[in-house]
Amino acid sequence: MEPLLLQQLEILPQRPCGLITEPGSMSQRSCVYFGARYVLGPVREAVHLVHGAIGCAHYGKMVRGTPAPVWSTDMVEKDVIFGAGEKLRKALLEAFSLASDARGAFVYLTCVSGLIGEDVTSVAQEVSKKTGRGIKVVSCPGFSAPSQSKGHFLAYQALFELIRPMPPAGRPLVNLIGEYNVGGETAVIKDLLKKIGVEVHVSLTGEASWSQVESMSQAGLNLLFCGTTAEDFCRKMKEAFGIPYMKVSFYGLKSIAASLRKIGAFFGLPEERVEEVIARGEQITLEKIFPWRREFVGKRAVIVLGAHRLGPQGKMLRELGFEVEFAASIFGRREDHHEAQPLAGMVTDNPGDEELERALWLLCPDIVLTNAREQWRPIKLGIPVLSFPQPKERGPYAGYVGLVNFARDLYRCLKAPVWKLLRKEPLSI
Amino acid sequence: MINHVKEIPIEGITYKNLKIEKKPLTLEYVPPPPELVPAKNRAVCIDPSRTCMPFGAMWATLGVHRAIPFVQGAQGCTTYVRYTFSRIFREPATIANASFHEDAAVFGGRKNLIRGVRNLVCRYQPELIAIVTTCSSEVIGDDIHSFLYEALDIMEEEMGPEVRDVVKFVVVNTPSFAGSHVEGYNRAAREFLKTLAKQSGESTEEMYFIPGMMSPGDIRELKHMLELMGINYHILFDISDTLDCPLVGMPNKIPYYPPGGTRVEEFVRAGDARAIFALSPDAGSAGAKWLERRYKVPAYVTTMPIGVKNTDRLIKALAEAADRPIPDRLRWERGILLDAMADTLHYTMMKRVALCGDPDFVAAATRFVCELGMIPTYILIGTKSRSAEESIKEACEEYGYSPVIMNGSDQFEWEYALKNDFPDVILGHSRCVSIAREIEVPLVRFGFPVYDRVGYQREPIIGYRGGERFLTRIVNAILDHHYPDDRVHQ
Repeated sequence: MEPLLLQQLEILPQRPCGLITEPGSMSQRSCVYFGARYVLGPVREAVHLVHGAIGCAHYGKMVRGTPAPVWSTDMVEKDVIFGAGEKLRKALLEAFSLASDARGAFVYLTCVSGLIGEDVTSVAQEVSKKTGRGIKVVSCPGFSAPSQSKGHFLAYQALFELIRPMPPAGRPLVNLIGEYNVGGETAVIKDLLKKIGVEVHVSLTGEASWSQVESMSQAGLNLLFCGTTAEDFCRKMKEAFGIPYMKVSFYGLKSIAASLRKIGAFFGLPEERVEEVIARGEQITLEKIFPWRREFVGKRAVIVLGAHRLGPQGKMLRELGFEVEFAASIFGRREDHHEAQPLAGMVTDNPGDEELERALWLLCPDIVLTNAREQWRPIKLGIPVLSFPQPKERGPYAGYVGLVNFARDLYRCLKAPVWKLLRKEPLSI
Repeated sequence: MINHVKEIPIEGITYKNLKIEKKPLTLEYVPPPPELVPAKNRAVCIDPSRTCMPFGAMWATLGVHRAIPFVQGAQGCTTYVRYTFSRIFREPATIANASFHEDAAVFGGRKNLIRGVRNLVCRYQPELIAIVTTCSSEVIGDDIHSFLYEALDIMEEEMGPEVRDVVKFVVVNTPSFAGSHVEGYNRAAREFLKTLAKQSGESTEEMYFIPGMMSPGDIRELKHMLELMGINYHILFDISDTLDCPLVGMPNKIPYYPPGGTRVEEFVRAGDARAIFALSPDAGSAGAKWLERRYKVPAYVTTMPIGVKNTDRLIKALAEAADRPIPDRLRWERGILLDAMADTLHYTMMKRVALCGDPDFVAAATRFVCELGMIPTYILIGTKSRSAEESIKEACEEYGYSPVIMNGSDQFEWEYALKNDFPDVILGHSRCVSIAREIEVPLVRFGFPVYDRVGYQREPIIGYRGGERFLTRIVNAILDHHYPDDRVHQ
């Protein structure tokens, strides 16, 4: 008898990526503005001006834990009817005189300003000429694409336009592209690269400011982390400035070793040094996670995450001994699915809440990896959740330190006594 | 020379001769031009303390049993709101979306609404769907009512005529450019009653309450007070058992619905009520007033019962409206609060306090801090509100204070004032953390939104018992900050 596969059981409809969302399906996808704000949010030395109603600005503040102020034109009914070009011009001028250290501004278009058809570009040009500071218009009305992926793309386009040609630095200098400093990951990656003798110039957008972005062309290599959002950016940088790029990942032992070797070989760094870093890192990590591994072997996990995280997180889980029942992306693309295919029993895209709930109900996995705003639903069903992006106190998941943190958090999730109290000891008189 | 200690010889460079090259880490601080500090002089709004109108409508809808808000807009309008709910309440929030894409922007959201509503009814079997419009659908000019009519026709054909009885629909028009979340809640309160409330002619003893954007803990405290008074009550938009639920493990049936929430029948019977109370003048009073106009149900609009006098007022109004005596138990609770205030007066008296938040919360809390002998200095009302300003002025006049009231301003103006004139304590929401850290003043969190600390959604601040907890929170914050190592205090 042939073994039953998940696909045949129809626990979760298998969807290819890139489809538009069915209305009313409780999708976890978000809007284009969300994507643009996610990437550009932490860029320093810039005014982030949201041209639209007040709500978008309020929500735009909760981006990756950055406490930078958010500026808004606060469009009201009058502006919707008569247009808010003049208001935008005034707002930009005021913003520049209030934020005297800002090198420039990002102007985000939202649904309202997108629909009423404001000529934002000409206003931006005019103000830019008057004040001598750069203004990048990010045309990201929420409805303009099926998911936030387009927003990431637009944000990277805006960043690309900032870069100026500069002479190369002449030492092993790299940019990190698509690295978002989740839980302090930039510092870990920087440290790891420093150990093999490579210096990090700019991290997009984990640690970036307007002037740093301008000088990005000094680097000799771009390291691409999040493929969905930034590959196009890297390709453009290669065409314009001749900076090659390579896809790397610092999630999981195998990926770290492979990435470090690749980077070392590119710069012609001494192999012994790279190997030593890898050997030491692996030794320490394995020592630390060894006592936990017994708890992990054979446990069944489910991954429901954005896009590029499916593969890396799946690999980490497999390295620790988990089985991955299924992996679902929210706005993935084909490459992400190809990466996750060999790791998981099934890969799908954009599951609705109801479909997901049914799948969890039927499968009862041991742990769910999902994003922070959806973590409470599996918990309500009594299933432990490890949420992404992890808060700062949980620490980075990248690099050797990261794998230890990841294993520790999984152990915490699985071994918390609350699950035992919930399942095994009902209140009986 | 003290105690004839020999002078210790210093080798190397003495401190006076030490030359250090000072390189500033950041650019020098340039104060903003004074004419641009007040928000009313600016076109730009920096760090608003209010959010979008659909949010309030969704908040209200989530307080109804087996109800799902259906957001007629782009996906972000839902995602951000779900994010906010999950951060504040740590509970799943079921909110559906019409997934507006470019085609909807061009051709309108008719197809999205019809398909979305059908999907929801099939998959979730809700008892009520609230269609919440957004900026985009309002700018396009979607005719939601006719879309809904069409959707119902299609569903009737497919699922049979009973679908009209099983699922109720409420349309709430909430374009974000016309107001904030407070107004969204207000409109939702009106639209729910407008659409659902009926009068059978038999008047009942039931009293109705619209709590406003209170936390689940506050609503439980309200229920406690009403039970003590022996009032037959119904709380509309009761989020206490929908956004704060026990963990019981895998349910027997999915989709998961929280056990609580106001039932649809309760809305239907509202026309027969003895009285309706709106406990937040800005969030919910429109519903109460509409019910009064339409069905002659007496409406009482009171300030949020935070502190002694505000709660006294509510209790008196309740006793009058329900014609019931005030139980001794409530007097006892009041006494406990007064005792707590007397115990801690040295910590609270003459402390200068700055407040920030939604109008209803700030207006009520201002009176409470005045009762504690604290001096309100700068008050930011996140959403412009005349009633909140009036009640703040009334309270401050009574106690002889004249704070600066920033009505509908932004946090930039408020924070700038605080930077130049430090208060002793700040009462505000989670977005006030930055300024509290910067000027090193303790922050007492309350109101909407509090997401960076746990358990605040379960802690009441209303009523006498809630007031005592709120007082404890304030005093402990002051103690932690101003007297952190006081171990000999007797």
